[in-house]
Amino acid sequence: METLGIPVATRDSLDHLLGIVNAAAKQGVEVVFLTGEGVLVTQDPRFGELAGRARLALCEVSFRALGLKGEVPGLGFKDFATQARHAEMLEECPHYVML
Amino acid sequence: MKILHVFRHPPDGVTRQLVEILSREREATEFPLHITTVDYDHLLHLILTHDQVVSWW
Amino acid sequence: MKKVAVLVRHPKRHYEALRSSLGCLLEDHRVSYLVLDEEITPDEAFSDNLGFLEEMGGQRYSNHPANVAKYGFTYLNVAQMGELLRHQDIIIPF
Repeated sequence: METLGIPVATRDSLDHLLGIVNAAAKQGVEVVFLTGEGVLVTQDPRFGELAGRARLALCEVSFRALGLKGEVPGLGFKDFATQARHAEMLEECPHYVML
Repeated sequence: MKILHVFRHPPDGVTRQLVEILSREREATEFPLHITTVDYDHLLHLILTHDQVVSWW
Repeated sequence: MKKVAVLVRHPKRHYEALRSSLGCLLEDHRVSYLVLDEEITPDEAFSDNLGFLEEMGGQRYSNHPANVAKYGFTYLNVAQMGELLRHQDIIIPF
């Protein structure tokens, strides 16, 4: 099974993220890690469309630094992670595209 | 070695220079992500069939 | 272990790119942090993390003379950066 890692570091990337995840939904597993301003995509109601379609995680430091709080659809407690999660993605995923 | 260059914005001179160096003696493909209508199925196919993907600014 | 280059241009992403570089070092990747065109303006946390980058064996490069003179970056022009990128497993334009 193919595994695609998608780190997201820009706030205007949700359309691309949804497009790629939807295209990949039939083919494999996607791993998404949100960092920096990329965590702001969680505030768009459409972000909920990703729940169950990809393994999601975010950088908790970035999330708090941008004044965000509360739950995020598709993310559990352990998915509020550190930059190490991004580095694990590099090791784990044979395919990788940054947004 | 197959390398895919994804452009999130139209590439400027610096990006172009880096792309040219990285593409030298390699099979290189370019995909503009900044266009109005993106074919994500095609993009995914390209991602999965290239050895390296660089998603430029 | 992979060879990872984190390449950053916009000043507002300098710090995030550095944090990502450190995360990669923690996973035992070989990391190069490349700052293009702009001088960094480190606060205390940024400076601390630059120190961690060095302590953990990460490399830092820039084509901006002030980053070389003031912050210990190794100078590379854009063409030299391109040659360095050719030898990386993963390139992250941040």
